[in-house]
Amino acid sequence: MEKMGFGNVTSTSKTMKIIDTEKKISVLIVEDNLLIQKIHKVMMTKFGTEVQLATNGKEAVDLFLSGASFDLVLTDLEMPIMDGIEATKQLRSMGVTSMIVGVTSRNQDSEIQAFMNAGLNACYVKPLNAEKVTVVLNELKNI
Amino acid sequence: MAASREALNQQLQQIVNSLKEQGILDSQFWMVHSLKEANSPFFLAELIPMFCHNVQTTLRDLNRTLEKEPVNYHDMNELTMKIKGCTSSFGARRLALACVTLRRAVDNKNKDGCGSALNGIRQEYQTLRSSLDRIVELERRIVSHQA
Repeated sequence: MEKMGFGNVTSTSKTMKIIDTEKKISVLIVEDNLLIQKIHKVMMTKFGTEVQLATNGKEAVDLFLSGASFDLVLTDLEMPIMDGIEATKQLRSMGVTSMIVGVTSRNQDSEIQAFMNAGLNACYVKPLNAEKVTVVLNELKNI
Repeated sequence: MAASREALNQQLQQIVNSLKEQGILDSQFWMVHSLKEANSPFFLAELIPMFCHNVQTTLRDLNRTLEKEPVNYHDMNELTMKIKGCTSSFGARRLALACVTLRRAVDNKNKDGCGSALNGIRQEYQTLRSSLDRIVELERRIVSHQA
């Protein structure tokens, strides 16, 4: 399986936040691998978004707890300290309505579904490429 | 000066096209290459050594995990996902496919299969490595021409 979503969010959040299309889309990239972090950061910057980085799920959750907000969260699954599934569950239980998209090396249906069930809007198998980013950003702008 | 830079870029394109034709790299690599416009001219010359370090370190960890008795297949699984993600994100197509073979062996808890798959990954990496060294050399020469 290459991709899952954009269907109904299976979390408690029922409405998506309204995106101000005048300002840059803010993106949080949650990824522990520095090579992939670098590629994803530059790619998203090239698409005109404002990017912040977190190296694991706990850092991502802490950012939201500190009052930060993002239009889009791109999160890996396997990370030390807190993985993508746990981070997504916590963010949704905190009432975070940002679009959360999983980007993972795992490609079995059951693995993708388990990640989706945490509260993702969509999930992609790596690599993240221009086509996938375009779909995500278009989805974000259409909300 | 400009002609020489163009010649270097053409050499680079020829190498990458040849690697794509052999299935060693895919279009993801060209996308990654194009990111240097949005970042810095040194982007690829910095990224390639990071990639090589990633692969070498993960291969070492995979070997060590496989050598321990009993084999911890959970750790093998996580390391396999790590190298698979890294190689596919970089655009190293055959290397990423070799990681899929490893994944299957890990899922089947097949120690011999894991050993054989690791050898396959090592071979693919060696095949790619010499071309990557050449690409880095060309990138550095291109950047020095732009300075």
